Amino acid sequence: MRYRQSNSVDWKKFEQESVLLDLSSGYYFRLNAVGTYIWSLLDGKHNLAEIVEEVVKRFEVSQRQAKKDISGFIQYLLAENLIEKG
Amino acid sequence: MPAEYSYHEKLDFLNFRILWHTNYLPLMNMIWEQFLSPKNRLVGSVTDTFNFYVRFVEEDDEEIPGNTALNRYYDCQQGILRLTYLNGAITVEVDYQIRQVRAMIMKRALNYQWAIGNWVLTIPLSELMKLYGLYLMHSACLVSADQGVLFAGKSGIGKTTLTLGLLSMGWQAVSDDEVFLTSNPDLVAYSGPEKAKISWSSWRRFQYYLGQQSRFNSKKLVNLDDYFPGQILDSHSISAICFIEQSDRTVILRLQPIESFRRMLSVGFLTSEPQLTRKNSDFLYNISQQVPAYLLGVGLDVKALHQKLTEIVLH
Repeated sequence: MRYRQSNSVDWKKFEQESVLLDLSSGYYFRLNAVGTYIWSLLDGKHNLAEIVEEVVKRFEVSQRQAKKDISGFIQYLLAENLIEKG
Repeated sequence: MPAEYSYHEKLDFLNFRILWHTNYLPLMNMIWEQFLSPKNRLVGSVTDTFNFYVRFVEEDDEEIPGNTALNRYYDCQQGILRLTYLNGAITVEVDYQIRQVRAMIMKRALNYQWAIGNWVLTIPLSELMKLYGLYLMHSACLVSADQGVLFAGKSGIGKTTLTLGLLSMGWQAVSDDEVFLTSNPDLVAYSGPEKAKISWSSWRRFQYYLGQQSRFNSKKLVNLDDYFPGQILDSHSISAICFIEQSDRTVILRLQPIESFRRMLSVGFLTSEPQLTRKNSDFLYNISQQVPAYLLGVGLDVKALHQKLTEIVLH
């Protein structure tokens, strides 16, 4: 399964961190460095396994922990309509 | 123009002309006397005209449950923004394409007349202003040593207290509450149609700053010009932004751009047509990158505040 950023989200990057602004609701979300990196990979080209692999390469985290955390993060983004499947 | 709008008024604001039409003269007088600057302002030649149709509906017996401004929602479809206040007692449509505002005010809403000007004039006007790159921010704008500083924060955080305190220390003010911002290319703040003003209750609370001899005339609101002649400005360039927090002492901390941006999202008026919200976000992002931002804890000692602002912010 691949995911891509919703068109109704405005993404503003600040060095390593970033802010997502939901243009339809006005709500905003702050992402730390890891969240920002994952967000950049939600481009419709990377599947979950590939995202996990990239994160493990870049940050000090086990594959198992990364998969669990990234899955949870993606579920959250889906629930908030910030990303879409496909 | 429909025949039912019997009363008309014109307001010149920046480069825009607002034609106000209503079927109810007391409503127009209320807005005009309480919320607008007595001096209409036109900076250059008129670039556009906005028609505001405000219809008063008398048949209405329902009570308004719960609190007021919180009972608000909006949606935007086919280029028309719909704002609803007081559980439907006030509805406002902003039509971006034809630059028109249509508002309906029911009788029961008149109990909340302190807010009506903001809901049917300032907020819809701020939506139309976005089309021209002018963005409203909930912020006081004060000037010292020819440097403008925005003091941003939501209602009740202390913007008016800070404004009166610093005016008494010789600062100048563009606004004590809301400003329109634009890049020209430097950041510039303009006072909104609700010019710097105080209510009777504020006047009582801040008599210390206004002087024991100050008098409140018969109007419900008084322009700060009356108390600080020559210190109230129409606009000024901005060189710093401070986000106000209540504190028992004066504290100033430099903020990272991401923190400045996040806080500006809270005090900007972002609930809007999505593409305009995106432009508004771009605008705030540029400010966060270019204008130094501070977290300001405001204590009671206005001299200490003035001194710290002079040392840290105005340098």
